[in-house]
Amino acid sequence: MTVLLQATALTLGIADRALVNDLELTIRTGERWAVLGPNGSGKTTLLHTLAGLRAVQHGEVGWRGQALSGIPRRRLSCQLGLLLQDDPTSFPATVLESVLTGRFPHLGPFGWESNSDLQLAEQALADVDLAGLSGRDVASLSGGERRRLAIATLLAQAPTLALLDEPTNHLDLRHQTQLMSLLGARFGDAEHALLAVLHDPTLALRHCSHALLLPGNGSWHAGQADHMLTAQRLSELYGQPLQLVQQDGLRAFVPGAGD
Amino acid sequence: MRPTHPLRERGLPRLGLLLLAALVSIAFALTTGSLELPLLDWLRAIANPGADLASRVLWELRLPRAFTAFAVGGLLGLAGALMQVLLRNPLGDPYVLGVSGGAAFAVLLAMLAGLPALWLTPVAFGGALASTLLVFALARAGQSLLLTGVVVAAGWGAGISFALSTSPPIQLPGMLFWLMGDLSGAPAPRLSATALLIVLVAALPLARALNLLGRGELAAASLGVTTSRLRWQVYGLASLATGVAVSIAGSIGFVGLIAPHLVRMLAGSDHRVVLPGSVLLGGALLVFADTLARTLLAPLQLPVGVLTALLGVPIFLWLLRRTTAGGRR
Repeated sequence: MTVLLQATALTLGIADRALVNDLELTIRTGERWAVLGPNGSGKTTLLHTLAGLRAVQHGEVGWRGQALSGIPRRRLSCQLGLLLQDDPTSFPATVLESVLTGRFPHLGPFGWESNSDLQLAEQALADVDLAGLSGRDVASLSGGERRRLAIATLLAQAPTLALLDEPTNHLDLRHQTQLMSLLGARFGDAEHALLAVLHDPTLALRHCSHALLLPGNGSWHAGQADHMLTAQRLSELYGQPLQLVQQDGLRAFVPGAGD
Repeated sequence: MRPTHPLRERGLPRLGLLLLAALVSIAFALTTGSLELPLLDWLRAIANPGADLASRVLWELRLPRAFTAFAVGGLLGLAGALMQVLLRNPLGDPYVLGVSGGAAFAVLLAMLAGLPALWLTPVAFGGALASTLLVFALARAGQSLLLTGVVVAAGWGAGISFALSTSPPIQLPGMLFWLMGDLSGAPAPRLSATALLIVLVAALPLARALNLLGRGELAAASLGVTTSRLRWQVYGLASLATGVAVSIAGSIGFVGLIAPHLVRMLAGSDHRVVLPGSVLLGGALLVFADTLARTLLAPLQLPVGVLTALLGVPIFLWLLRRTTAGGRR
């Protein structure tokens, strides 16, 4: 188990509001992290900071023992991938052109995508159920299809650690399950790792080995999923009673009745 | 199954078509005018420079003018393609965004101050760059950027009117003609071609990073693009292209708007094709328009900017309908 990403005494805030104070987080290969928390608790800010897209004000973020800010952007992008929460309305591009952008960090400035790059891109499209759409304009895709295209781009990028901001956004139930299994298979083995912001604690329970809870008031809790994902902790986290329901070996969190 | 690179399948062959269009437009410009000869005589004239009247018309009048028109059109097409990806809006264009306006205003002031002609190009570049920076400093995101550009363009328009109303009457007709976009003055094939070559050579290595910038700044950064540096490179190159074009030919609209648009429709939106394609098509369009401008009402010469607008408005409206009506292809 190699240490990939490490946050030390990392403090995050927006304007004057402290979101997370002195976060200590170590992501090792083989780990699958869920980040849970109410809206506006700093989950996206954390992800962007860990990806090196936001300057660190207090604390440090390291990648394989080296300060993140000292690593050239392109080299870092070969190993560290980020799925954004929303894909902004894109400039005209076809589906295949879009997926191929995932290969950008692996090619030189004059690089030309090789056959193996193309095969990777086609395979990534097939993995997310978009095979056959490669010539379509991105603007003509549905929200869920566009989401899967963004995930295919990340698969084509093939990073060691994938940071995912609400990967299941816009996806129907079947694709949510398929996608989480796919991400678990691709980034959950002994050489890779993933950290995903999720809004469904049940998905976290089924697919993640570790969890980071961010209430948004400066405090945080991180650890093994078994210890973190309990009805009591999650009810507190969301300010909403939750119950753990078990049936036929499946576990799920369901919201209890309100007041 | 061996996959084919999308550029090899579609982009590059279409680029060949655009090259052909550029050559046809130049041939059209060389053989059209008050002096009419059979095609074979033109070929003879081009092979013997200075031999007779036909070859002098060709070598001293039509060729320099056609080359200048091509290079200026190419510069405008390239500036448009760069602006559009920077704005992530296919409606970007140096003319719409006030970049040409800034350059034109600066040149007018320089003319009024009596600066020598040599200075006009750097002054135009300065005006274009200042206008670009102003627009991007005032607005920092998507749609509002375009609106800011339109408003700043209107501001330059007012500045230009002010400069005109205070300038000596004897200079007015020349200034007005130049402002409307005009290639009938002294052609500058060397200056414009050199500038075009420099900007294109500097822009081509950025093409793949520009493809990423089209997906949004954060997405591009997360895939390894140093977006702040790329932005500055694009500002600089687009302003240089616009400044040179304006200093030579005044403000010519619509070429920068339409050429990249048509190229994307024809050859896809990979900037490795869009950038050279916009040069070829922008050049071809302006050569074509300029030939019409000097022959339609001959011996009267129309400012070419009037023609590009007359041709550009319906083409642009058609493109707009196509894009908003849904499926692009």
